[in-house]
Amino acid sequence: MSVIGIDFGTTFCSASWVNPKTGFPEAITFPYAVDTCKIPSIVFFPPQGEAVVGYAPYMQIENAATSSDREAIKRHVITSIKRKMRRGGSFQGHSHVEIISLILKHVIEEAQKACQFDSPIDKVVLTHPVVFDEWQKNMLIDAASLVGFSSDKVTLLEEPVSAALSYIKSNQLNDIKGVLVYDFGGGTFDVAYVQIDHHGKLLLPIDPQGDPVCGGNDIDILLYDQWDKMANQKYGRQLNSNPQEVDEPFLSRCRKQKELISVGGGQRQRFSEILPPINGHGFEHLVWDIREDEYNQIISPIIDRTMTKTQIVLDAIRGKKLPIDVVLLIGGSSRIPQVKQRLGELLGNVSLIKTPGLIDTAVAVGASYYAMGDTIGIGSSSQVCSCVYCDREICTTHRFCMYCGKENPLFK
Amino acid sequence: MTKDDIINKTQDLLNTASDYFSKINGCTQYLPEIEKLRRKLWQPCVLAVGGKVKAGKSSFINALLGKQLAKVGELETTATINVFRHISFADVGYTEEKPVKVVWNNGFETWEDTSFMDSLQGNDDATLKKAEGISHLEFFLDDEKGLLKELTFVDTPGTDAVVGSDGQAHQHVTDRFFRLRQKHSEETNNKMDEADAVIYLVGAVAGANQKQFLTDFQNTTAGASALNALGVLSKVDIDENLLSRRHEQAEYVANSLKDVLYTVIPISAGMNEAIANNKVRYPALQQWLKKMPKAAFDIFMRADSYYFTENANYLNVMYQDSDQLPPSIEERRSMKGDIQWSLFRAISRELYYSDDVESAMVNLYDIANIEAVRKTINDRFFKRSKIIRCNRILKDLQKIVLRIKRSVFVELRSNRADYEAWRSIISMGESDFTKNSADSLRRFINLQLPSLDAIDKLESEFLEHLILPLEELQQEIDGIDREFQLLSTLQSRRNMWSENDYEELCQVLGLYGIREMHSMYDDAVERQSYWQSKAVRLRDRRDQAIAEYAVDCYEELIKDLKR
Repeated sequence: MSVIGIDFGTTFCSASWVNPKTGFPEAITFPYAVDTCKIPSIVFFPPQGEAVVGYAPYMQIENAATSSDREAIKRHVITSIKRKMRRGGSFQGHSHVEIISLILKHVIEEAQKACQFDSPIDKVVLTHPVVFDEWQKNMLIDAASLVGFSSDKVTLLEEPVSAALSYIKSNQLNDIKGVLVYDFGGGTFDVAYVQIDHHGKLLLPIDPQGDPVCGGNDIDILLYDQWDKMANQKYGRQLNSNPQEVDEPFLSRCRKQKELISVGGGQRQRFSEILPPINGHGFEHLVWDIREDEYNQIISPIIDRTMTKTQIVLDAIRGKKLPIDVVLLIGGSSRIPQVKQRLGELLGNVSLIKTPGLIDTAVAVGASYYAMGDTIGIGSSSQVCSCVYCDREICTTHRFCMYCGKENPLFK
Repeated sequence: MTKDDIINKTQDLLNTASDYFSKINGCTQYLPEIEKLRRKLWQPCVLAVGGKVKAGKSSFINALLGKQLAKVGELETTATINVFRHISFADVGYTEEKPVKVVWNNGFETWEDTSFMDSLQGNDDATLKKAEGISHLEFFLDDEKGLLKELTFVDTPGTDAVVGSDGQAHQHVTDRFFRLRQKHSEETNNKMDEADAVIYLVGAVAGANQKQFLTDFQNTTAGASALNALGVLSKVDIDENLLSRRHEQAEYVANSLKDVLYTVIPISAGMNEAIANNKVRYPALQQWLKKMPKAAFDIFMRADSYYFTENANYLNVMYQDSDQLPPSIEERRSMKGDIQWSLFRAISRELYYSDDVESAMVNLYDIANIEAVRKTINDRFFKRSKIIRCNRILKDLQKIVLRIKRSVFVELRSNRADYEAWRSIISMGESDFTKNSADSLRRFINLQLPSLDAIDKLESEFLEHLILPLEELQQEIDGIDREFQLLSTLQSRRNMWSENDYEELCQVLGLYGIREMHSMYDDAVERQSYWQSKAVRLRDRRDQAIAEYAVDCYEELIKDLKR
């Protein structure tokens, strides 16, 4: 019996399995041109033939020679189904449940290619945002059943719980009582607090906060706007002839720049770009020497929004006097150096902030851990044991023997 | 599901919620919040009226709401926003001596008497300065059977009543209230003191043409949105030409301002009042008028100077082909009574040319047209407002329910798990001697802590009877709310869109009333892929959301086509 954990994301999916060689959960690396743990959550419905999922349509769009080629594909591509899903909704005649199932199926097939499962995959753990409604969860279950998993073979798990579980278990940290999960992805932002109670259960005692339209993509647009402004100053032109729309190849350059700045740790960088041709203007050359403070200022409107939401959760945690042992940064956009710095200011303590080694896959890996056991600590929470000093029966949840008062070495 | 169903179902859900909450340990603390939501559900809608000072606002308001207001109207001031509401138990502090609540800008509230109101009369600098510190005045009326029970009415100072040395005082105050629903998109659950419907009043002037009406409305409706605004062209009885072409004129203005005003309704408050006061006299009046030869009647109706002519030669010529004698000047005076000439003329014409009083009355009510205003406010704005409010209430309820699901049930289980641990301790201390107390301790704990099975059962009931129906209802009305919000966004960013895109989106989003999607059936597939590829190119997330909605709408349309 094998289990697969899937983080069904708005822009990308990732997955995990329990490696039979080690017995530990791992993120699955998919063998594409570049090794990656992510599969784009997009589905292409060609006018003829079967639906195509993931990198095939994704690369087609990225590499399209002309904008009209790109248009032609995009007319039949659905992206961000996780955000768009509606009960009874459909896209070009394909129900939303069907679209989700196509994505899940593709992820599972690719996982089977990438990993040597020693038995057929017969269980799936799917993660979802805390704020998902029951009908949304039911749609996930329905989608999984279209792939062939009956509802008793599907387990749903909240994303922040999964991330916290993954961090705690992979680092074998059994004394953590509270985790703040800051999840800043490509399109969305979520912040939640996970509490570990004395039974080792992971709970969500605070209302999570989120912004469904605040993510890395919005930062790309801010950089794009800046280039647009510079192009206007220097050449009296815009990047796109229609100011309401973006020039997609150039936007994708902006994404690369953002990633380079994050990797470079926020140091001064020089970007040299060729502007796309628009009516009356050729391929002008534009250079941007971007300083750290300038970059931080440009992107701060988006970062501010995440900080405001985080502050709300922090206030609630403090109001209930709950502990914060760790602040987990997950999601690709949390790599931005400013995030860590601003969060440190907010918390008054930078040392709490941890970025798990697998920033993009913490949620997926947690799903496999969950399949192995849903509590922190070992086994059932209320085992009866004997006091090693006076031999009377006590519980493993008691730190001290209630008869002789001595420490209980079997305390969990 | 009809709009009334939605409101009733929301009420039902709130009831179910409080039933459960009083049953489950640890939930009772949420009961006051449910009570608050219940009150919110039945709060009256807010109607605001704006317009020029001489547009005949007070007579229109009296016609719309009944006479109660006029009485308090004497206290009314011109420099503040005045709110009229039905008095309820919640209004602690109301006394007959001090019947007016003053809400100051800093949120402070005081109850004042008539002498305070007197000090707010006038338009001098000192008065305006005082008024500037006031957010609004609230007048309380006991209107158990009247319209005020259903709506709270906001009267704003006229848009052209700018006075005082700085000249800005009035405009400033009015602007504040007329920002209205722009905040809607921010989804802040702020108090419902913004108007659900706004009426912009423009008074007709004799001899004015449609261009002038349009300019008047344009000047009055700055910042308005067809989402909640309605134009009213008042005093349509003022000249005969306008009276006969009033619907046409109103339609012209409505078409020219269709994203600012939902529609424009021509009314005559004076006619409304005249009917109410004098309709018993109409049969007699008709009889008397019908005795006039047509030529004579037409001349009488030209103007009041003709009607009241005492020139015997004129009268003789008018009656030369008739066997009737001209009515005496006294007779004519008493028949007209003290109503305005333009109204008397309109009434007389209808009576003269109609076969009976009833059919004349139909036409007269059509001139008054107050009922149409009432109906539009109710059908178009208030019902939708109520639904949107239901959505807010349901969202709040959902938050509470989820909090319970996440904390209360978890706590119950955790406590029970603790008990399982204690049980072994209880049995450990148990001997023949302590058996009774151990039993009673177990009984006590069992009573306090439901068993795991009982908690499971409670939770699945909670899910089935509360969470699922809640989500279902929310889905049902989310669409309406979403449409409303997208429209607000679309209008606030209209300069971003090309003329064609904007037109199409307004139609798709149902701004112009009932969605006229039939005309779009033909190229629905083409339009869908247009918006599909447009959505990803758009720079702003708000624009994207609108384009994505258009894709969804066309998807539904295509589905319809296939059926």
